[in-house]
Amino acid sequence: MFSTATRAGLLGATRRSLVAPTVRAFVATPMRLTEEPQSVVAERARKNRPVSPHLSIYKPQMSWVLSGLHRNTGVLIGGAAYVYAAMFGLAPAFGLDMSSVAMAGSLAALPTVVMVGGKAVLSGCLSFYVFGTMRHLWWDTGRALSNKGVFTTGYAAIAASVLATGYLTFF
Amino acid sequence: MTALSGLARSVIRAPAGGRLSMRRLGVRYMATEKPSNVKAFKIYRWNPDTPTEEPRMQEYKLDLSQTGPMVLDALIKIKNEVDPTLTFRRSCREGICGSCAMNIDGQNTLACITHIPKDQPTKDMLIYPLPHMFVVKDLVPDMTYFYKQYESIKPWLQRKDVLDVNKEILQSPEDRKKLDGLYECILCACCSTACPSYWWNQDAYLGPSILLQAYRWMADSRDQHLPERLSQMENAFSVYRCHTIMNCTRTCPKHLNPGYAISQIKLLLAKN
Repeated sequence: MFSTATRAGLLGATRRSLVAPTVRAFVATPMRLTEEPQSVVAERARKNRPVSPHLSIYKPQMSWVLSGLHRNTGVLIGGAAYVYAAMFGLAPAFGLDMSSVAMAGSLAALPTVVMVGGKAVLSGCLSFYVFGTMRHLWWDTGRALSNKGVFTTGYAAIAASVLATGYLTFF
Repeated sequence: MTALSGLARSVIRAPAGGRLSMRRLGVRYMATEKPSNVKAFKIYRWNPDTPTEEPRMQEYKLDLSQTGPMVLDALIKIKNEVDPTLTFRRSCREGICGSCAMNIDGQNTLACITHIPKDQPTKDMLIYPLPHMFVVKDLVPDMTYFYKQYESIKPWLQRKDVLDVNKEILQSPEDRKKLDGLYECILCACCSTACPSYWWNQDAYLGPSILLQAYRWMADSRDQHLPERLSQMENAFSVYRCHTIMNCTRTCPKHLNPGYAISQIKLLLAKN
């Protein structure tokens, strides 16, 4: 903006100086003529402007870590339910037996580590998603919406889902 | 303190021609009273004059015993004494203008009211611009769109009746109290740029800062445009991209609660 104004003044001054040389005093910064206008520099810079770093540099905190966990466990549990339901429809085409007896038999044949591990992962996801959802429903009523509320409800949801995961895995 | 006054006496008693010895004393004073306390500041750099160069982290080492207590003091010291090309916004240096909002050690805050932790000088301090914003230069983000979003919520008193310009619109103390925790917002954008929803949907979601401002006018008993203000929010994005992550309230340098203000907008929408 400044350089444009100066240039306008400068051109005016040169033209007028033929008639009235007293305006010469205006010629203060002739260097500005060769400079690129700021708008051109800005235009070029905008094309390559980076987006500042975000998820990778933000400090892990209960607020967004639990929010991400809630969403991902939800996607996993929902996806598993969809796959399991779809398998019932597709089983005959692949010659698979999806009856309860056959499923129980093939699951019982799995090694204990795989069996317990699989149950822990699935029940962990399910229970965290359930208690996380309760936390969100509580928030939706306008309650516990403060830094303290985030932590107390967050620890409560974690504790409840740890207990539920233990119960669902071993009993 | 006693060591210092003892030192002062010895300086006075120093023999003639003691310029050198005074300097020696000065060195001793530096060494005993304020041990050197060097901390590294790693700062995000990007220069629009060389736009194809990737952004990088540049390290500056400062002696904390020679630096002011706040992060902004460190930045100003670097700019004045080490590297004048380092670019950042600052103005009031007391947490009321919101210019020096940036990401310090992973959290958005104002550099001017953030202490440099003196107890852990060995830990490097990481300084980035506000997250997920277009960078103008170094620590300066482009706030144009943020301000446009602010304008879109019409942040001014709207009346349906014609008022006598010479008359105040009165408000009860109770109604005035509803604005506490809202009017203090300085629009530094720390909360909006801490919000993952705002990172992914900046084009359509208004973000916690602007929504707190929107609620500030909804909650004002003197404003008569609540239905219009609410109908502006009746879509999937403006307010409902808030998933109660609460990074906003966690990071607000003014200790306000944008998450709560957004929930109040949602409740108003449900009721109306």
